[in-house]
Amino acid sequence: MAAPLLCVAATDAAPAARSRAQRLAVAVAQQVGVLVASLLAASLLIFLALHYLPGDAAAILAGPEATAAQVALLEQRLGLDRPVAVQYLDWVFGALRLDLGDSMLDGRSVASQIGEKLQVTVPLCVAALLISVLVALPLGMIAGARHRTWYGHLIGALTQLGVALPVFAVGLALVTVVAVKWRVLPVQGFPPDRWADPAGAIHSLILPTITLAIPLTAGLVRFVRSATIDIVADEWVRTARAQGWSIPSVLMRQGLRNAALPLVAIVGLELAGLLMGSVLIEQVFALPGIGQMLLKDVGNRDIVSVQGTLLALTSVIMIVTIALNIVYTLIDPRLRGSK
Amino acid sequence: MQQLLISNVYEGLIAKSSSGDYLPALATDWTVSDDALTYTFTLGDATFHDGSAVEVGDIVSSLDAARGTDSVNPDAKRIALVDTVTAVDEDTIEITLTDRDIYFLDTLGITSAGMIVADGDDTDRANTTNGTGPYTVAQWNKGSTITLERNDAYWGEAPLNKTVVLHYITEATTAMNALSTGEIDVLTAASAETLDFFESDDSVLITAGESTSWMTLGINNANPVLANADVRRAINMGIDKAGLITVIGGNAVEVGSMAVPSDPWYSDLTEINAYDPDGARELLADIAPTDLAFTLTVANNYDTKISEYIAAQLGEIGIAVAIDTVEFSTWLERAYKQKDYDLTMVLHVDPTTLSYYGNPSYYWNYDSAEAQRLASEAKSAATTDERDDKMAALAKLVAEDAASGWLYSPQTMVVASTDVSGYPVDRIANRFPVSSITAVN
Repeated sequence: MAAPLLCVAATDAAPAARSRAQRLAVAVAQQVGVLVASLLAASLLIFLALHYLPGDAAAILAGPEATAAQVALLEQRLGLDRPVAVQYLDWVFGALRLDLGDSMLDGRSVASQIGEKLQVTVPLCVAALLISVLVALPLGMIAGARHRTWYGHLIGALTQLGVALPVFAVGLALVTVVAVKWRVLPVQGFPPDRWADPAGAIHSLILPTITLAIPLTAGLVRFVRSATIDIVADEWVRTARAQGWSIPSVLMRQGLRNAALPLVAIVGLELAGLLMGSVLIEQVFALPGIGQMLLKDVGNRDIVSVQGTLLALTSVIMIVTIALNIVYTLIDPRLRGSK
Repeated sequence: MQQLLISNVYEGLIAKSSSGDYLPALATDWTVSDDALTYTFTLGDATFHDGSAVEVGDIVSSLDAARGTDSVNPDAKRIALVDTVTAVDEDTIEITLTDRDIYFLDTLGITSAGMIVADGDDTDRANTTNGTGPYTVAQWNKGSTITLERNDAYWGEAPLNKTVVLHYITEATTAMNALSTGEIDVLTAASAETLDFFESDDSVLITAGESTSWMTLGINNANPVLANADVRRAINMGIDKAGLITVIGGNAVEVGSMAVPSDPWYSDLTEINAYDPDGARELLADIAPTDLAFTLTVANNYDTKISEYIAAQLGEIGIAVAIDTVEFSTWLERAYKQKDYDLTMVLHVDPTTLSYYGNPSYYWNYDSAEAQRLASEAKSAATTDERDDKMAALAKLVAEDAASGWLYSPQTMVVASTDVSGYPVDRIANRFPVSSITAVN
């Protein structure tokens, strides 16, 4: 009699397990579907916005002394005389094969240019993000758990300052002291050979990374601090304290997991801001990153280059957002169960 | 980019020194016929970067490509008077013109239209170069650095340095810091703030280079009100140019027309329509409508101080000026191409910009038969003296006519470490030859 019972139990458990995996798969498939639809919408928006932007790429390329016939000839060579729909479809199908076309100005492949520039921007943003999370977590928790002490107040005040200071000023101040006075790090630029010179590349990125990380860290500290203050006032913390746990150990063991979810959400939101910030940083430090490239291409009306770069950036942000959504589902049992 | 490639990477039949003399380049010698319609060049022993010799066929194909009907060469118009390009024998090329062109040697030497590439060369020019010049482009990080590497097989005099790295820095402060830490050795087009910073620094040398550029107040001569020369004169008389130069931090020369002191056709015309706000008001008092209002369309790459200064000055003589700041490409489309503007502001850098007053369809819409005659006579002049006379007359005519306003001619300020020498300082807006730069120690 025992065996059939076990059998029943097994058949009972199997569909439950499968349906949970299925539910996860459905959730992922839904997210991917949203991603594809959003990317298509974004590509159409980018294309149309740039298409109707005043200014003519062919005219700029031909130079101020060009004749109308020359401009028309260039338009034809660049494929700008084709119907708008054809131009759009051609671009989107190319993008699916990771071919974003060639720059209108210098004929170089846009995809490979983006690849080169990302070698500067991605390490810059990732390093700034890592530093700020690693610094903000302990600092914010201390400031929150001990928010009535003098150092709690000090941290609070410093973060106010960090958020308010313009990136530009911070960067220039750092350069003046570290690069011009002490001469330990370069003022500007990036090695011509990029990562073939790893030491040089890292040296070039230290000051920009710190500059970018400061306002980000300040913002995160404030967030972690207020989250910690909330947690410390929670009933379960009181219970834990009654059981003899100290506040730091409660926070380390339980608080971190409770704060992780909103933190991941905030970091995801910061990503777009980080890319925006990097445009400014790249300008101050003359770094050949994606932000600088975009600024220059917009000025030159190198539409092929601009639309390719915008699409790539949009895709990165969307993919990261979707990935974070999936991560939430994994770390938060409530989200997992609700479906 | 063009500024760097010409004469460093690509070369023409001839070259031009920074003081304006024509020098042999790919051609060792040349003669010009008496009617100035036939130019004969003798080819030297130059080689391309890939090692192959420069032959007459390469010259013919390059020039034919530049002047062809399907040419997209930015300087194609300059070479439009060429009638035939013929290889007479294996080292002689004959070029005939349909009409005399006093600028023809300039076109061959210092513009894109005169640069020579190998016949049938399928080099991917977006990523590699195959010119004849003393340098090759070793590395190009778009928007950041260009590395020029010495071409060790260069057919001419070897460059004095092995590698030159050109940094593209948009922030003046960043550039200033980079120079003071020695990351860069030479800083061109330094800002007024940068000059103040380095003024008492012994480790750098500041040089004011001769420049052929003009900050120009473009006036739309087709505008019904601005078509009246008295209104244009009043505008010129209403602007205190010396004051403007102080506002931008100095380092500029006052000019009265589209000519600079280093031009052979220069004469001092600053007294024509000179600053006289009372005189300007009197001129305007006779003109209806009494309430004058114009829009000043400016590209956003110029300092807003300048446009605000102009608006304020014209406001004092009773002309209301609204400033419309647009992106450069929008400016190019709207003001330059469609000529849809009242007033605008542009830095002209072509040394022969003065001759554009002979082109009624240029964006100024300046249509003067006399100016057109002078410009065309200058172009087809038999001698440089004759050309200079015509150009001088043209400069005076447009000044008296107030065809535009000439706000100032900026000097090119070059700040360089005393560790280097031999860098170019004169007329570097169009060309920046680097082969004579050396380290002093």
